[in-house]
Amino acid sequence: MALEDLTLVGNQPDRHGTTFDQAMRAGLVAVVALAVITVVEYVIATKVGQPIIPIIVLAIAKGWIILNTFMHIQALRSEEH
Amino acid sequence: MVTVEAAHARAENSFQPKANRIGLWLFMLSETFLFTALVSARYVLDRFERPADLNQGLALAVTCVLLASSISAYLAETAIRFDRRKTAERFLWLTIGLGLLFMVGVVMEWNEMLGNFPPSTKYGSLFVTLIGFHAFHVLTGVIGLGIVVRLVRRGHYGSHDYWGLEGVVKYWHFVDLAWVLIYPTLYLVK
Repeated sequence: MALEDLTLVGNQPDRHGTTFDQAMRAGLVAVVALAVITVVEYVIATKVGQPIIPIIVLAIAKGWIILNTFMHIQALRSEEH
Repeated sequence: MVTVEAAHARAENSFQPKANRIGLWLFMLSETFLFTALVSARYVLDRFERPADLNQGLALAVTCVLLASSISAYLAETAIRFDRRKTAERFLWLTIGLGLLFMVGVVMEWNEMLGNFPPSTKYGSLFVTLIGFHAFHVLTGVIGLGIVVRLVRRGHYGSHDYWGLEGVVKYWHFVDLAWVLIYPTLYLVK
């Protein structure tokens, strides 16, 4: 394998076919979603009387975003990862 | 014979990252049991009562800091995947800084806790245990990030091999994930 194949420069895709910009964008979208859900959680907790069900649902949603986007849990199923 | 042995060694080396990843996930699963036990203790022992004098603003602020540190860690891992060592190093330093800022927030939380609901109360006991247990994980994560950033500076890791950095960053995300469940448990649910 040539050295150029191992060293990624510019915005070339990695071995999973993802470019640097795409990976960065995915992370930023995830953190914006996490921030919005956190604010919604806070508002529900301070305004709603018994907020346990919506808060648990929102916490699970946040957990899934972290597991899926940041921790790449789905990649565990792929042979290469 | 030498060729066969070399082929076996190559196969083992190429398989190692997958084994490492499974090992790390199993470790995090075992940690999940511990966090789940502590979180469920809050609901069993103290039902859904929430003290009125909790500092919601501080809790929201430390939550945002930890979420910011998670995106920073993710960007560091992404950068090293594309051989951008300098960018990775910057984001790792940022993650360490945010982790330390989170710890400052935890100290402030503990100070307020000791005044409002001491550990002799049920809520105070749960609060000090959960926050303390989580803070210990943050501290070990910061130490791990410190080791990794030093290795990045020395030229370790690249697009072909970045397991050490990936492992520490995954652990950091796990710490963030634990907080995502601890924050509503202690501060929001009533």
